[in-house]
Amino acid sequence: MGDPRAAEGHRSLAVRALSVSFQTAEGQLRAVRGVDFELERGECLGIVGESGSGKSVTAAAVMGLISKDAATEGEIRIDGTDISSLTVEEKRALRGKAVAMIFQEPSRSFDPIYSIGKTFEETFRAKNPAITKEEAARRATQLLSEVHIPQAEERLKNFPHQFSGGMLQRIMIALALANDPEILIADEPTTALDVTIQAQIVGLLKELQERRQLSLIFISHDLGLVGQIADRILVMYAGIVLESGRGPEVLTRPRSPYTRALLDSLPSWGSHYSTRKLYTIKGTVPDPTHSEPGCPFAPRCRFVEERCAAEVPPLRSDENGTGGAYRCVHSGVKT
Amino acid sequence: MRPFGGKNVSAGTDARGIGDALLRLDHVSKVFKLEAGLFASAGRFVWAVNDVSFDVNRGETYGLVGESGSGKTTLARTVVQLVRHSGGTIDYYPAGGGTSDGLSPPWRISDDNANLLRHFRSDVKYIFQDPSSSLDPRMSVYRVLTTGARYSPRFSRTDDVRGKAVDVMEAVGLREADLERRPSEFSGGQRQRISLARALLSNPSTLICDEVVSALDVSIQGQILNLLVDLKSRFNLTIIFIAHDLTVVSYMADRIGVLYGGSMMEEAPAANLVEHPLHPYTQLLYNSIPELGKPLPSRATTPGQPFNPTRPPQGCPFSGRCPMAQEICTAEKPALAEVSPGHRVACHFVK
Repeated sequence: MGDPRAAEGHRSLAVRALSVSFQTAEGQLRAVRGVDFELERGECLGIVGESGSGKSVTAAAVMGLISKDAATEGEIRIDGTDISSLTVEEKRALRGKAVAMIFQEPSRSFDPIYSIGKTFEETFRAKNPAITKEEAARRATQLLSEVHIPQAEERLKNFPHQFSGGMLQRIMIALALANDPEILIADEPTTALDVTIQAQIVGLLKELQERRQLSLIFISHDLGLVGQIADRILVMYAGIVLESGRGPEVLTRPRSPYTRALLDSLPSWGSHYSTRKLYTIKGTVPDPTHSEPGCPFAPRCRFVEERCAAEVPPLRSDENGTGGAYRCVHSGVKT
Repeated sequence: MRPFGGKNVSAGTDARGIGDALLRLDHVSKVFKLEAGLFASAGRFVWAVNDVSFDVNRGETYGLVGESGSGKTTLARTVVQLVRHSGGTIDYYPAGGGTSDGLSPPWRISDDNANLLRHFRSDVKYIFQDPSSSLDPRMSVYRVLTTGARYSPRFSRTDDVRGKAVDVMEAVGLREADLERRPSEFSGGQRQRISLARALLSNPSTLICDEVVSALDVSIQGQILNLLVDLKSRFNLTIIFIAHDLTVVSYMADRIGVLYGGSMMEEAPAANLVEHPLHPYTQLLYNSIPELGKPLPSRATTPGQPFNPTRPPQGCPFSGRCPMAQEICTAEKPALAEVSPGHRVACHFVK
C-alpha cells in the first residue's frame, strides 16, 4: 500500500509486515498480524478499532515498548532507521526525541508525589543532563502556555491531583512535546474525558499537528472522532487492517463490510428508534488466541461465503480511485 | 412556566397537565457528606442533585443525559433508594392502582417503608453499567436470575420460577442451557443480556438503564440498544435511559432531560432537542459530539471554570463555563421555564 509519491525524506515512519504475538496460558495470542502503513511528516493517521483489534499493540511496537518475550516480526523505520536493530539504550534515546506517546488515563501517567515542574525537569534532564532548574522552568512554562494552561508559571508548583482530567491531559501533551518529538502517538487520549473536554483536547492536538508539523497517530474506538481529526485512517480488526484510506471518506463511503457494519450499528445524530432500526452485528469480537485462517470478520459478516474462510483476502485498492484500500473477496460493499 | 404542585400531590393529574405520569420527582435533592467520621464536623458537603423535578410518563423512554458529575446516576439511584434523597419527594403511580398489601397510590418512595420498597423494587428494576461487576461470579446464571425472586412479593413458593427464567432468557436472546453456566463464561454483551433477563424476571413495568452500553465494544452496542427497543414494546416497559452520549440518548428516548452540576438545564421531546437545543450547555454538548463530516470545534475554546459540587455557585451551575454568562447568571439561579409545549429551559436568556 506504498504511496509512490512519498519521497523517503518526507516520511516520518514506515511500518512493514508488522506482526506481534504473545505467549499466554491459553496459547499463542496473535495481537498484530501483518500491518503495513506509513506516516508522512505533519500528517495525522487515525487507527480505529475495537478492543482486541491490535491498535494499541501496534502503537507500543512503534514506541519500542513491546516486551522481549513477545515475538515481533517485520520492520519499523523511524526516519529511515529500522528500530528492531537498535539496542535498548538506543531505543530509549529515540523515545521522547523522535517519538512520544500519550495515554488514555492522564491521572495514571503522572507520579502523584512530583509537582508538575519537577516532572518537567526530569523529562528534560533525561535527554539533556546539564539543564539548569531555571532553564527547565522557563521551557516548561512555554510548553504549558502552548497547550493553553492559564497562569502556567504558577501552576508548575501544583501537583497532579490539583488539576482536572482535561487539564492533566493538556499537561501530558506538553510533557510529550518536551524533547521536540517528530511523531506523537495518542492512544485513546480522550476516552476517560467528558465529551465537551474531549472536543477541546482533539482541537488542541490538531492545532499542534499543524503548527509544529507534528506527525500524529491518533488511536480510538470512536469512528466519529477519528473521522474528524485524521487525514488518513486505518480500520483494524483482530490484528489486521481491513480498510485504509483518506479520512473521513473511508468512513463516509466505506468498502469493507466491517466498516459498513460498524457505521450501521450505531445511532447517528437525528436518527430515532421509532423510525430506524440499528443494524445488529451478530456474534462477538474473535478470540485472539484462536485465529482462523480466513477473513477475521467472516463469522459475523452479512455477505459471508464459503471462500471467505479460505484465507485472509489481500488488501485491494478501491476501484473508485479514492486512494483507499480494503480486504474483501467480494468487491466490498457498494456505496 | 410549570407551577409546582403542593408537596402532597394526590392523583396522577395536576397542573403539569400530564395525566399518565408513572413516576414524579418533585424538588429532589441529594447532599453527600464529604468526610465521614472524625472530621465530619468540618462540614464539607457535595451537592450532587439540586432541586430536580420531572415526570416520567407511562410507556415512554425518558433519557437523562449529562457528563460526569452531572448527578444523573445519583438521581436514578435515589429513585430506587440505593441512595436516600435528602430533600423533595418521589411518587410512583403503579399500574392497576397498586392497592394490594395495604398500599394505596401514589406510592411515596422512601427507605423507611420496607413493605412498599419491596413492591416498588419488583416493579422498577435498575440495570448497571458494568455487567461483569454486577453479576456474582460464583453463582450460576440461574441463581443470578432467581435469587431475587425469593424476596419479591410477586413470587410465591409454588410459582414456576424455573419456567419464568427460561422465558426471560429466551426474551433476551440466550438459551435455557445458559442457565447452568457462570457469568464469566459469557462475553460483555451477553452479560448485559443476563442483567436484562434478571431485571425482567419479576415482570417489572419500568427499567432504569444506567450507561448500559458504554462498557461494551462498538460492534456490540447496537445489539443491546436494539434488544432494549424490542423488550420495551414486547413487555410494555417504561424506560429511564441514562447516558453521557447525547447521540445515543436522542436515538433511544422519547423525551430528554439534560443535567449539569446536579440541576436540570433543559427538558424537551427528543425531536425538539435534536432540532432546537436551546440551553447554552446543551448547545455546547451538541457541538462537542464528534460526528463524521462535522468540522472540529473551535480551537479557541477556553476551559472555563468547571462546576465544583463542593462549592456550588449561587447562580446557574453552568455560569463558570457559559459563553453567554452575564452578571445575573452568577447571582441568581434561573428557573426551569416552559418555552414551548413540553420544552423547558433553565436560562436567563432563553425565553
